Amino acid sequence: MIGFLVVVALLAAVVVFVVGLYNGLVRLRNASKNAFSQIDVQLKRRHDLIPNLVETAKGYLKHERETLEAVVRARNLAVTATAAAAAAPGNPAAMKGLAGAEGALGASLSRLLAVAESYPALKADQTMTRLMEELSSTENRIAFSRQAFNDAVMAYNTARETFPGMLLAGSFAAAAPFEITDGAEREAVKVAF
Amino acid sequence: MAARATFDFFEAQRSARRRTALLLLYYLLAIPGVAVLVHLLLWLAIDLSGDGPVGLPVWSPDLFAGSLAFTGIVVGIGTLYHLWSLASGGGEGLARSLGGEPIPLQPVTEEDQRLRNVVEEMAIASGLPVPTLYVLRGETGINAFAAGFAPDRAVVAVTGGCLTQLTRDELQGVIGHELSHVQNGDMRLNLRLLALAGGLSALALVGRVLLQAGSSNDRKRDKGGGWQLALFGLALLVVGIIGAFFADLIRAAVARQREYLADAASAQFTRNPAALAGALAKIASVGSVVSSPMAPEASHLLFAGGRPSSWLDDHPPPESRIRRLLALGETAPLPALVRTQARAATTPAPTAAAPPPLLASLAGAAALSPPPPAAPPRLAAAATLIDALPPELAAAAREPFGARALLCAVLLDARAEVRARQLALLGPGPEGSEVVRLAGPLAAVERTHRLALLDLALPALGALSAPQRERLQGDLRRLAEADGRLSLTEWVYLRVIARRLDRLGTAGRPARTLAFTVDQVVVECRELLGLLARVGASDEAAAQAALDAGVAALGLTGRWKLPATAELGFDRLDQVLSTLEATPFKLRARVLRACQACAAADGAITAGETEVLRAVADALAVARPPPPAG
Repeated sequence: MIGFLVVVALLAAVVVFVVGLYNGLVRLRNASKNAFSQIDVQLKRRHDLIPNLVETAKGYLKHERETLEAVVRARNLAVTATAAAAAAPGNPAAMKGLAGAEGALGASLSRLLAVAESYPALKADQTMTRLMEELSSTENRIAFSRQAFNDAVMAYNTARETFPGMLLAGSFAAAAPFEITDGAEREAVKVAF
Repeated sequence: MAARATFDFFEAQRSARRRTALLLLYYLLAIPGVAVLVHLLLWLAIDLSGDGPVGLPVWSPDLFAGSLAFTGIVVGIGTLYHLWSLASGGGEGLARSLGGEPIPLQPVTEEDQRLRNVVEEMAIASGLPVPTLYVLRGETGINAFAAGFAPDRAVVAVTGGCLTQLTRDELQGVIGHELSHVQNGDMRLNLRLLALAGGLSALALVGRVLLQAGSSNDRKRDKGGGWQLALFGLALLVVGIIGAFFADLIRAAVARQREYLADAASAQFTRNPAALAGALAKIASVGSVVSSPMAPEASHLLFAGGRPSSWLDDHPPPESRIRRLLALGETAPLPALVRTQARAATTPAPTAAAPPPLLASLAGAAALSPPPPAAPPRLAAAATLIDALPPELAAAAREPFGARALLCAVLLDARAEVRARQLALLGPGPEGSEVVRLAGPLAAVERTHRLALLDLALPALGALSAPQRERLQGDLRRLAEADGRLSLTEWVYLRVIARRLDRLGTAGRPARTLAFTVDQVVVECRELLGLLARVGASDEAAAQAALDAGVAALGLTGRWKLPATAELGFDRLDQVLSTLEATPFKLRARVLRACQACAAADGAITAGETEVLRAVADALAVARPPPPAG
């Protein structure tokens, strides 16, 4: 009788342990997915901000039509890439495409801001200073959400590769971190005048 | 507790958590410990009264069970009572009682918008919901707190001083620190520890009641037994007070560990520990006082302690926090490196991109100026210098009108279109033509000798009236900024001239700061030495070597992370010099020697370095020692 109880108790303990392990891994996986959707939200915020920025700058930058057009073009490409990546989060190819498009957008924005530097009237414009603060905040948010996503992916991958988690690794695919591949993207947009 | 070297911010957090756990273990031992004391007291009381069984052994399980139950019940009820009374109100109530004003989701002013943006950024970085935001508008000190017992009901409040005095990066560090408190549940932890300390003091309360009951018994009935009760009460009172004292001591030690933990976590969120160190350094000079009468109630929650720190304080000394933060910056893990590089690399200028002024002038200083010939001893140098100057310049420098024109001429730009704009600023009068006349011979003077010209010209300016001096300074600033930016050389000229003119006038003494040791100004030293290191070096490795030489000359050990160029703005440099200016002479001399060691680290002092050294020496009011031979 006592032996039977011990066996039942051991079995129950194993079941509880496996359920806890499984739930823990699911929780970490969802945390990384949620962290990715944060990046998505912030990239969208940047995309929404750009038309306003270009609209405000247009009045002052009459001779910089090409720069402005490059920003708008890069923005539209980035919007498409974001949609593709959002459809398949964690997919390495989609992530790479997104990183490239966002990198190009960042580079074109930094060119615009460098050009804006030589137009004092633009710098004095109040709408512009507001937009600049919003843009620099958005750049920070993108960087921070990426950082949080990568930390979450690291925690998830560590959990599924280390001992108890690796027992269940078969039903959990590895996640890819958001890597910055494009050199241009490393040149974070410089917003200070 | 000796501070162990921490290598990165994850490790720093782990270490703070480990220490917290150890302290909490001590804390939990308090209850059985007190129960043992109560047991001994009871045994003594019974033994002395002679009522109980004769020869009751010191160890009796029944008696111990009784004392454990007694202690548990008294402390438990006391703790619950304190929990209940402390927990009322919550975060929003606290913020309002301190005079906080909520920041709406769509703030009106730019300042508030910046704060809200920074808080939302940090919420993203830490993965927390955005807390309710308050600002204590009337408080000019730099401080902040986070309150609330659950992340989704958290409140973060900052003082008005945070908004006006801190840069965006520094504010970010402070907010990151506060959000770490929210994430780690530090307010809840602290509340529980406070309540337990309160529970132990309930024991003292019971002791006092017993003491009073015992002594009144004694008087009324004049019977034996009362005095044992009184004695037991007295002993209990002492145990309760001592217990509560030690509990508070451990609680404060835990709180200090949580501060280190929050600093390290903030570094993880922002990947910029130097900014948080900068905020702490500003607190050292501006102060962190929260003047609201309710402030003492919240002192354990604040970002910086209001009192000078001690082992009873909830906050570690700021110097120690700054030192640890700078050590974190030194070997930050990969992501941080990528981001600093990203910042430093904003400007490998393609044709359109204009580099930020300081970086451009740094690059210029490193690339353009050949190392000057080995400096001969000072006096001879001065004599040859004056001889070498074109005579019309030397003559102009000796009378006020010419001296004024000379200062303007030094700032004339080599580029034709900028020069045209500058001359237009000066106007067509005699001043303009004098400046043009002097500009010709001035072009032949070497860059390093131009500062000597300033020295020659400055005494003549003593003849100017105060409004004239002010106008001159305004003119010079406009000339320097005619091309839309300020170069490092221009900044040095303006700074040196402004200092001299202020001294001629009746400018007040520099503000007193509380920095007396080099530890209190490490942030300033790092930025100053970092600038010098970057001015003279052609690449990162050489700059780091120069910085290391400067740190060694300061008499400190360890390596500091080279500040990114973006950290070194002119406004910041002005602040750094003002802070250092107000330190004791010995410290200023030490800083200047370190600057010199830093500039000379590569064996040559370039023209750019000479200029910066000159501005530093001037600002610190320390005569520059002659350059080392060779």
